Amino acid sequence: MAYGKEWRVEREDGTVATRSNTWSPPGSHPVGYGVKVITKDGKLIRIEGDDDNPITTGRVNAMNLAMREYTYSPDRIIYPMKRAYEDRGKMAWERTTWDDALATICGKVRYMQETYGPESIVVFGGTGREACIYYYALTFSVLQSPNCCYTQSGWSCYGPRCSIADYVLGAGYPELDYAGHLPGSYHDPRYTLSKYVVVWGKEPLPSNGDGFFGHCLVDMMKLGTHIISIDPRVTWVGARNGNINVQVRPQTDTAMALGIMNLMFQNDEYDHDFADTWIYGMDELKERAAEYPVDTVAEITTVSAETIKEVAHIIGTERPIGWAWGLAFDQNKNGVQLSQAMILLAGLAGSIDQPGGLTLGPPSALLGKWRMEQRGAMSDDVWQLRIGAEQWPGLSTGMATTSPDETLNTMESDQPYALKMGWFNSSNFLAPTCSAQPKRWHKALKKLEFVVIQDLFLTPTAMALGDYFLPMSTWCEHSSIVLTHYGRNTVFMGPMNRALIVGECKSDLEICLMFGHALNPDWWPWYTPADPYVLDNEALDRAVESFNDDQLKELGFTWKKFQELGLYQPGAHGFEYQKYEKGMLRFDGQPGFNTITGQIEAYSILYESWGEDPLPYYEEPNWSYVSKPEFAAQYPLITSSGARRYSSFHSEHRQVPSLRQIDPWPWVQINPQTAEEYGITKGDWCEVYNMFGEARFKAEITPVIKPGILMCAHGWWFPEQDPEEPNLFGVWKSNFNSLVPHMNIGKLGFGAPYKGVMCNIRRVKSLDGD
Amino acid sequence: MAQKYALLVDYTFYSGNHAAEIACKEELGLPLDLYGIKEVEVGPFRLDDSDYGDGWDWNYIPVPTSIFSEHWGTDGDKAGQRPLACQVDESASMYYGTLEEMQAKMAEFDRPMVLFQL
Repeated sequence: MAYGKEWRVEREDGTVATRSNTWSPPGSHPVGYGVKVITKDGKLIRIEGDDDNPITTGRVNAMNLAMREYTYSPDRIIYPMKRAYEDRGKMAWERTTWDDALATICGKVRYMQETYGPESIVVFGGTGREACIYYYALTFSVLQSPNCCYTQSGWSCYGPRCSIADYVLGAGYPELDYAGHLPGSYHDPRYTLSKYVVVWGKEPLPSNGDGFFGHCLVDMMKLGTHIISIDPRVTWVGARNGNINVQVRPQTDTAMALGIMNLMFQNDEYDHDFADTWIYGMDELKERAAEYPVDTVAEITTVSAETIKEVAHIIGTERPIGWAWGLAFDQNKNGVQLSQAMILLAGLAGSIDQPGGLTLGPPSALLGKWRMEQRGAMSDDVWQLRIGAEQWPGLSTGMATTSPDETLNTMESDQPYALKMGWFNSSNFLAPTCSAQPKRWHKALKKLEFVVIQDLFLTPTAMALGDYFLPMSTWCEHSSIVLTHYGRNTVFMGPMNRALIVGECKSDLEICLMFGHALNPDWWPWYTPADPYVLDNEALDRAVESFNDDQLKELGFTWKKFQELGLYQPGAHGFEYQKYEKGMLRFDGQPGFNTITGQIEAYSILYESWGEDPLPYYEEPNWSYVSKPEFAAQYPLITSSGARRYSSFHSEHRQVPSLRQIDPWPWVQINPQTAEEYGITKGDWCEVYNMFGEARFKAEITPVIKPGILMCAHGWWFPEQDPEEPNLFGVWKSNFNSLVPHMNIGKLGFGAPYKGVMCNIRRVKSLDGD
Repeated sequence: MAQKYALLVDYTFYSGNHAAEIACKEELGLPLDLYGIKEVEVGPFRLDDSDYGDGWDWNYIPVPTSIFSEHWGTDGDKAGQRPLACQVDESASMYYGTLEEMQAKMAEFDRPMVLFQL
């Protein structure tokens, strides 16, 4: 399908349709649904789909369709606000101006830099959203601090998979080939439909993880693809005819991976040509896999040996095999080994950079590369002060952030130095979104002398801590670029076109341009107002266009041309499969992968240098009835968390009525047999608790989960409740992350057990009463 | 005889993504407690102890309400125009057209389908 150049048209009924691609805010991953934003007299009327988008073909998710409600929510903050330090936790905000915010915040930043050093400033960034590109720049080149923090214990979201891909695969994020990069989609002559797709620890239909358009799985199933779903729960996708469900015990996935691999070796069912040429350490790998015979793996994972054998045979013999790996790889202390093993399985299945297998990109490209280059704005002396970097080289080599766990330790102990100023860019991590033990974070964060919040709503985090609140614009209200996987595998990219203006809201980019110009103009040359402390909206509009022009230069486009193009797919601009054979992955231009050995490393040279086993291995989770038998009677159940629904993005959307109507209360899924044992019936309020904390949910009784296993909702708070301390919108009532231990992480610093800790459950009267 | 219209649902693959529900509310300006399309969930029922998808009955069906029929059925103000709900459904499993078109469309599939005469 072809796009017309007209990206904005006036319709006969007087409305205006602006073609755009979605990202955030509100929170979402960079999936870039092709849409038309319908406005009238500058007001948002509704969102429609764009039939011409070759990937989403007019489809739009529920959260984006509810944009009108979100945009005009009475709770939304649309002007800069401030509050006195002594009023933290109280509803004592007052409206201010951007000019005041610029002058006051920049004054505070300079004071911190000069008094305590730039490292005393920490930026906290939220997951998935556009902020993921800009909060690095905000930290490194605007505030010039080395401390950019994503607070999830063990960095347990996407970062580990990217780092492991970097370390052992030597490429960007490997993604299922759903023909998204090809203009002809599934019918492009270069494409071959996956015969099977292994969907592992991922539920992409509601989650669209990292920009992967999850419903492509439905498109592929309609064309004949079958799914192997490896998940503790049977998913709706897994429950389609012809698909196979591998219902592993939470956190035992690495044993499953090694067990499958062992069978492939035993039965001599794998791609010898690929393995012999491109996998380093095959002999050692075979020896290691042999430690995982199928009966042992069946016992560890609670999956039948017959099912494991069937899956290994399919992966070993059917072609092409696609792979979709998910959050469960990250939220696992043993996840580094799981990611390594999955990459090797994909290699053994002949899937790497093959049609219908996995696509690869460079480790970092386009905007994603620009964000990493921002660290050059600091001297090496300052960069060395990054929290946890020295202790956790396995994390700090792949990620430009601090170690999240060490950041809490530093905040609690003021060692090796005290943090004095915090800037929260789209992160509500007192709510159970990412940080483990959020009450400890809450206490430690109160010590910060000055806090800036950049968000759209007063969240529990903003209410507890903020001194200044900078209101943000939605993706309908600003111009920017959406690219899948943040540039680590740009399946496609598209323009977001500003269609309306609300209040005085600004985008991530605009806030960086304003503060960057005032604080570090050498790195932020695009915005040139007459006075840095007097907001010039026209100059800011020009700056956005000029910044976007610079980002697109590499591809030969200007922003205006890009708006006319509507969508950039690499398949129309020289995309090739099998890049490793063509010298397209290594910086030296030689064939091979961008690892030390030039091959995919079953035996990882880097892991070994960091004191980790160079080969994949299985480790029993620390907080299970197997490893802690002394607690087995007290906490006989295992709970997972983090499963997504169509009605929200983590802690967002709770105040949008039509979405809240879909999932009105936090939920826990429980097998009918376990429910009966505990006297729990559908809709009962329950408390799930363990040695670390407790949280309340309403029971959903379902056979999709095995007896003894729970799945708890995350991200819950109650915007309708008392906002002030100590209630903070009820943020502690259903806070799953209070059950997750701090610093229970792998040897490289990655992976924490959000998807599997021991617990118990009891029926309670209500959300508040016993 | 007046032209009849129908909604066809490929419910094997309709994913229960709620987009059609919100789309109808937006397109028709409905209050919170009224729907043009309401999803119902059937299952999940476990048919056997196997690890195959075939061992499960678990489907979602987007049901058109009287409000939907009023607008998109015979003599409705939107009769013959594709509903936003059918465009945006993420699983691309809802079809709208004349009854004859939808009957012909249904015959193209070799799996269970639901045809709603509006």
